[in-house]
Amino acid sequence: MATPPLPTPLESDHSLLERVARGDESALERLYDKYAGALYAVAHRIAGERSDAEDVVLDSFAQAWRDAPRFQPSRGSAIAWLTMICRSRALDLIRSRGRRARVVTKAAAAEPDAAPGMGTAGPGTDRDVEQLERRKVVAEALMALSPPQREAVQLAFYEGLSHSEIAERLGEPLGTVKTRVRLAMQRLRDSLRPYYARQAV
Amino acid sequence: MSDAPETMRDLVPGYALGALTAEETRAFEAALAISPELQRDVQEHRELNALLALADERTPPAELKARLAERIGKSKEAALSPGAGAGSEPGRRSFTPLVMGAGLAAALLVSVGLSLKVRSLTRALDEKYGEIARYQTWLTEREATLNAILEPSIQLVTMVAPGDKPPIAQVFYDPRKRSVIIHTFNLPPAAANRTYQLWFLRKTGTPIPSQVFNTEPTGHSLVQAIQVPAGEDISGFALTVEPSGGSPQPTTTPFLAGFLAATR
Repeated sequence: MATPPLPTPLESDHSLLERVARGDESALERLYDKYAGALYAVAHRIAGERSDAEDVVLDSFAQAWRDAPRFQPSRGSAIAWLTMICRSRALDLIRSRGRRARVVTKAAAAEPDAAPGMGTAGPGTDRDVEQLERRKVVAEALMALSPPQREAVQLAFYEGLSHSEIAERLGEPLGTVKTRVRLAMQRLRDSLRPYYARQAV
Repeated sequence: MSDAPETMRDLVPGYALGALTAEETRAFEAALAISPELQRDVQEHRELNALLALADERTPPAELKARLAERIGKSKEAALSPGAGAGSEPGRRSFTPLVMGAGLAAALLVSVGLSLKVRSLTRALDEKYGEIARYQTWLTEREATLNAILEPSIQLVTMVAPGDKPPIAQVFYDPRKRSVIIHTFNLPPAAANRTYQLWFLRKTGTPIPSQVFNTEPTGHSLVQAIQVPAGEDISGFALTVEPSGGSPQPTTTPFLAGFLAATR
């Protein structure tokens, strides 16, 4: 009896998304296995609550399931697309509810691995080694920023605050905050380009 | 506000983070739609965001994957169900004759109301279809513009005047098709009986008159598929203010001009 061909271990994300676009649930499962951890972290830091983070991750993969036919590999990597969807869903959620409730709860801050880019995974599989390297280079890039710039990244990227929310939080002029966020992200972009360029291949 | 005037490129990191105001987002997306440079910048910051996310993985609850499978399964069922979205329930579909008789009487009583309701819903549906058709037309036009400016052979000339909120014109020149798209912003509508005119600059000799156009009250304009005359070797572009209908020769000094990279 003929068996369906198994996907190769090196199947690209683009190929997986093509299969998702054709309604192949096993391809979506593979993408989930690869990226649910990253999306869950994004959602948890922004939304603050576990249950909200779970909903955001579900919504994100459900949207990927629906929108996979519209994904264009020429415009970037699958994980960049998924991360954008996840951040948008998380920001929509907290903004629809009003940010203040989330800031007060701030469950993410209570997590033992709350320091961005400094997770606790130990070495094991190739994937673990790759993840350790990724955490190391990101942590080094963050540490190379000035403390105010690092704080700006923490608030803008990891907590998902808008420029005006950051200005309000820090009691600083909006223009100063905008410039600081921009310069911090541009410095990260410049120092991490070799690494994210690799993921985009 | 910022201490110095912001350029659209300054807004890229904030846009990729979702940190801009709604107004800033709208303005940025208008520029993004026609700027390959901004599109590349945004994509790069999205890749950066993805790397930051990947470096911060957390293990989601084990049951989450099963919940996703359940949700995808339901969405597939809903898509396959003929009554999808209509609120139909299979268990309520069969009626006995007795119930049908009673139902018929009730149906007669409410039929007038129902028909009015149906008419109203049909009208609303027609309006929605109209909206969708308009939106699709708009999307098709935007896609055509995007495709045109994403051609590999496209050369972009950006012309900026000095000042706090300077008029800016972007000219997308496709030497293969010998066609031009011009996009302006911060350019107030021309005065009464006046118009803006685009000129193709030759390496030597007088400029070639081209498209006349005006801008919207927002200062925005987009003119596509402007043809460069056959046999002309152009080196740049200029904009002048001319009497309505345009002029065969410039009658005012160009307020914006720029040259193709290879001919500077």
